[in-house]
Amino acid sequence: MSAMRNSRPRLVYLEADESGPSDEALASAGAAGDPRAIEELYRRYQRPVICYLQRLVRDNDLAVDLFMEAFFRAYANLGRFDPRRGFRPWLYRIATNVGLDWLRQRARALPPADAAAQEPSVFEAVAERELSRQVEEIVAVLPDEQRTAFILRHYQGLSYAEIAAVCGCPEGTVRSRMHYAVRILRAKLRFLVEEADER
Amino acid sequence: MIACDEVREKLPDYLYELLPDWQMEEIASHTAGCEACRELAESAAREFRLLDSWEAPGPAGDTTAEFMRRLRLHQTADLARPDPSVSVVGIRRGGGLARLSDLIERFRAMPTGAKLAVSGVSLAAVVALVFALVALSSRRSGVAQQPGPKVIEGVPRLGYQTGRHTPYIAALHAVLQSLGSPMTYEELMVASGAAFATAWRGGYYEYDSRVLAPEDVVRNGAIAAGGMSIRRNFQTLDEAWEAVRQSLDDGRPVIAARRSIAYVICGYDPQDRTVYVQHPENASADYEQRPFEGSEGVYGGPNEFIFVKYDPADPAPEMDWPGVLARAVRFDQWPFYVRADQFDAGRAAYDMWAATLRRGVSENGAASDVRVTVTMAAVMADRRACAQAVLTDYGTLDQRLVEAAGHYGAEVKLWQQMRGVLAQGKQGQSSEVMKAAQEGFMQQAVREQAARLVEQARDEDKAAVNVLPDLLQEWSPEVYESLAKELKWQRAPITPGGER
Repeated sequence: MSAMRNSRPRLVYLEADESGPSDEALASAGAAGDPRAIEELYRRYQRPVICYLQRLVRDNDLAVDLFMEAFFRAYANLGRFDPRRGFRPWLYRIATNVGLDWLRQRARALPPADAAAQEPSVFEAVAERELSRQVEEIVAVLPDEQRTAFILRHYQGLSYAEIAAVCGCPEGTVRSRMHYAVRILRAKLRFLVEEADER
Repeated sequence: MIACDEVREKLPDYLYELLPDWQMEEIASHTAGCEACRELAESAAREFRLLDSWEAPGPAGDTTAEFMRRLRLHQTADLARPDPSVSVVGIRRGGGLARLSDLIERFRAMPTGAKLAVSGVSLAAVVALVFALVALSSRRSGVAQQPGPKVIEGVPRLGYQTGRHTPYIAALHAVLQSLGSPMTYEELMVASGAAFATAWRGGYYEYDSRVLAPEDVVRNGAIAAGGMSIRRNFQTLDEAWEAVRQSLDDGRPVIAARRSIAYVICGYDPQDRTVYVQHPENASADYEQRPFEGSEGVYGGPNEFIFVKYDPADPAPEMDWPGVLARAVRFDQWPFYVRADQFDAGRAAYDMWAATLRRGVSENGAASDVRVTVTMAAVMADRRACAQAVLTDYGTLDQRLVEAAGHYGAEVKLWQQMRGVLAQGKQGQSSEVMKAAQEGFMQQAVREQAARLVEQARDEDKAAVNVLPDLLQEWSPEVYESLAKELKWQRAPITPGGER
């Protein structure tokens, strides 16, 4: 058991410091017009959500802009925020919408790629790149819903219940998306593991 | 003792340490003694560790001050009550209001003389613009007419009385028909996955069908019809009204939802901002006129609408029947995701259910065993009947599909027998069934009887279970060969369920 525990992946919890007023209390204060509460909330979430968006849209600078956009939308809608549902999934949901909207807009702006021809080229293209880039390319192959669920779970450490709230779908759907995402990723990662073993 | 299959299915959750302690221990103990599972777990852990090599750098520095500066800029520009449609990022990216904010900031930085000059020029420009607008409007007034109501005719009436009450597919069907789609309600039911309650996407299948999101159902159905659907969540009601009005002007009805029931907006009256609505709960033949108040949204958002795009001039592809059947077969072959409320029907479920029943009640496992079993019962009660009904409807299309319904029929029959055992509960009333089953299955005698019924139903099922592969092989040998290879089909009679 202990050996297995040691070999499990590192879970990255990048979320806010638990000390101090809760996110929900800050959100209520922010809705009542307290700019310090907004500032504190922003400070708490900038790093984890920007990291999330960087993985989602794969553009480090753009992710900062998108986070500001998402946080502004959250700020503008604080009056509608229901504290019982938690601030974290609510903000992630807005950030997800902003990120995916941007990806869709970009997809519309770009000429459609031949999906069948694209997949093998992923492997060809990544062969020479560093490992991190290769992993990034592999995760990028996942459909939007799976990729979102996977990044939120694996890199952001959100629970299935929180991811369900972020994605606006039942928890069972999140589990299912994770199931398929992991299956697809494992099939592709095996290629890298074998390559690493050969070195 | 946990089985290898179960360990494999739970592996991701095990690696994420999301399982209860006792299950973690159970899997750890299994992998310690099972070389194949240990190797699998170790290789999965290695693959997972690779994922951690992808690091996100985060922001280069603290961006809080920059954000607060932008926020203050909006507030000082008389936007103290923020408009959600305004993009704060747009300040840098050059949106309309963003540019205005930049101009205000530059104006403030100017010396007083320059400010006066700019103000004078701006005032003159505004006066000129007002005169121009007045002149333009007086020229137009002679021909301008007040627009009247606009209603899209020919939207099929759907309602509970017709039996076509699957909320989102009924609405999608109505919209597509009014746009000229040749797909029937039944075709959409199957193609969308609502009949089997499953979704298919590029390259994978979503099998926890009872919780399929309505948006997914609509999207799959629209794609099968050769169109597409777009869900939009508007920040303001005004914005939503404009988009809905535009869609209706283009001749496209809009799907909205309230209390989980989808309805179709077929028209509008700009005079009093009302909409004409086809609602499945309203048996009236006429449209219902109601104020435009937005929608409760597909996911509970305040102003969510689904816009369906379908162009009859661009012919929809022919319905892919082998593909539909392949999906139906896959439904039967799905892996069994071990989580009680995701229990699904099919042979794997039979195996699991029968194994659970045979294990009997143990002190530690009683609650989850019972939950698994009663959930299975509820699934059968609510979903198999639906699938059977749809497949039987297809008898009008092809008699052979009725045979396929026999497979589902066996499950329905099993449920009916189960219901006799429980002597309580009504089909379609899951909560009552669950309660009754939970009470019943706590008794060993009831569990044993149910286990016998499972075996009986399995025997009946043996004849029916190969119908779908047979049919698929006949219609499309290529698809059959590919699926048979991928799914490792075994055409022999089902191995009796039991401990694996």
